[in-house]
Amino acid sequence: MTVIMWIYYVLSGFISLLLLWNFARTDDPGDAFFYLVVLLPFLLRLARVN
Amino acid sequence: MNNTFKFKLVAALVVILVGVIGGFQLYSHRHFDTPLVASKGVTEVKKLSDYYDGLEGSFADTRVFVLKGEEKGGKALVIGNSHPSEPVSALTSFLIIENATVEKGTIYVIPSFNRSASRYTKPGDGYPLYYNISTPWGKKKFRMGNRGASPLEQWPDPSVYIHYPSKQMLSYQDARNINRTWPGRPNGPLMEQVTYSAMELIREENVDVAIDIHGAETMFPVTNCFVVPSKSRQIATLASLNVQAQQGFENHIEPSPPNFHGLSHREIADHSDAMPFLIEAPEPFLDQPTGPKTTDLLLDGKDPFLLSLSKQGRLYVPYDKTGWPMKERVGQQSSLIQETLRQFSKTHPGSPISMSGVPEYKQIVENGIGYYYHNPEEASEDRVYMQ
Repeated sequence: MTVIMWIYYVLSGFISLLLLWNFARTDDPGDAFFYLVVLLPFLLRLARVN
Repeated sequence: MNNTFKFKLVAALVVILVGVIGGFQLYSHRHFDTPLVASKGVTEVKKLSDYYDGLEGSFADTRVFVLKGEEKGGKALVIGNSHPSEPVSALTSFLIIENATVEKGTIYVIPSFNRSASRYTKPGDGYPLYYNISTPWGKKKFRMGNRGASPLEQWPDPSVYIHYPSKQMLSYQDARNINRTWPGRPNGPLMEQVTYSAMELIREENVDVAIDIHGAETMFPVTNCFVVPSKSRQIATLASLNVQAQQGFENHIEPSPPNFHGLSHREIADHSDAMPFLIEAPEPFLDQPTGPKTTDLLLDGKDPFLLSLSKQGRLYVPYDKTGWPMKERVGQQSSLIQETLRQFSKTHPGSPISMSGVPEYKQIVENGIGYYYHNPEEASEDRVYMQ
C-alpha cells in the first residue's frame, strides 16, 4: 500500500460521507436518487471486493 | 413516515440491489475457472514465479506448461492471453496444451499470460462475461477477458505511463497493458514484474523462439499478419508464404517499429537472444463500428456494418457475409505457430523443435475447435488444470 493509495481511500471515504450526508438532508427525491447513483462507485472503490 | 423518506428508502434499496447483483456477477466471473486437460506431452507444469519469486502469491502469477521432447533441440515459448479480450489467443494455447506432443526440443506454453486481465471485463462496452465452444461432449465455457489488467491488481494508473527502460511516454492505461510493459523490471508495477518474469524464463531457459498470439480489428492494418523485428523476418517470411500456399489463408509481414517500445516483438528481440514473433488474426468483435457485442459476434465474426465497410474497401482483410468464424482464426494461429517452428528447425538444424498432434488450419475449419478439446470428466484428475 503506497501513500497515493491511502490518499485515494481517504478521498473516496470523504466524498462518500459527503454524499451520504447530502442524501440524508435533501427533501428533493430527484436529488436523493442522484446522490445515491454517484455514491455507488465510491462505495465499490472502498469495498474493493476481489 | 413522509413520502420523501419512503422514496429515499426505496431508492437506497434499489441502488444496493443493483450493486449487489452486478457485483456478484463480476465476482463470479473473476473466480470462474475453465478446466484444461493437459496432453501426455506436458512433462512439467511450472509457475512464472519460478523465474522471479517476487510474483509468488500474487494474483498475476500464472502457469507455464512445459512440453519436453525425448530428443534434445531448440526451445520455444508460446504466449497466450497477453490480451484476454482477444479470445483466439487463449483458445489456441489451450489447443496446443491439450493436444501437442513434442519429439525434439522443448516448448513452454503460458495460456493465461495476463491472468488478471483474463478475470476482468469491460462492462461499459457491453462485453459478454463468458462464451461457449461446442464440443462433442458438451459446451466448454471460457471467460471473456479485458485488454489490460484489473485495477484490483494494479492501481492507480499514472497520468502518463513512462516505459522502462526506454523512458518513452505511453498512454496512461498502457501501464496495465502487458504488451506495453516488456521487458519489465523486478521492482516495477505488477505488469512489468510479469514481463520481467517471462524475460527471465527466456534468458534462463535459453529460449530460441517466442511466439505471442494476438487478435486485431479488421479495420486495423496490423492484422492477419506476423509482426517481427529484423532478426525474425526470414523465418516469418518463409512461414507466411508456406501457410498461404499449403493452408490457403492470407497472411503478410509487418515490421516491428524500432522506436515503439514495450511490445513483445520489440523488447524480446532487444533484450534477449530469442527471436520473437507476434501473430495477429482478425477479431471483428474488437472493431468499433459493429452492432451489439454479443457472443455470436465474438464467435462467428458476422456483422452487417463491417460487411458494408468491406464493400467500401475500408477493411484490411477479406470480409463477406460468412464473417470470420473463430475456428478460422484459431486454425490460422495454430498453423502459423507450427510453420514458424518448422522453418526455425530448417534454418537451425542444430536446434530442431518438432511438435505433433496439433491440428492445422484446414482440419480445424473442417471439424471445429471443440472437436480437439478433451472432456475433463473423462480425463485423469492429475491432467486437469483449472485455468
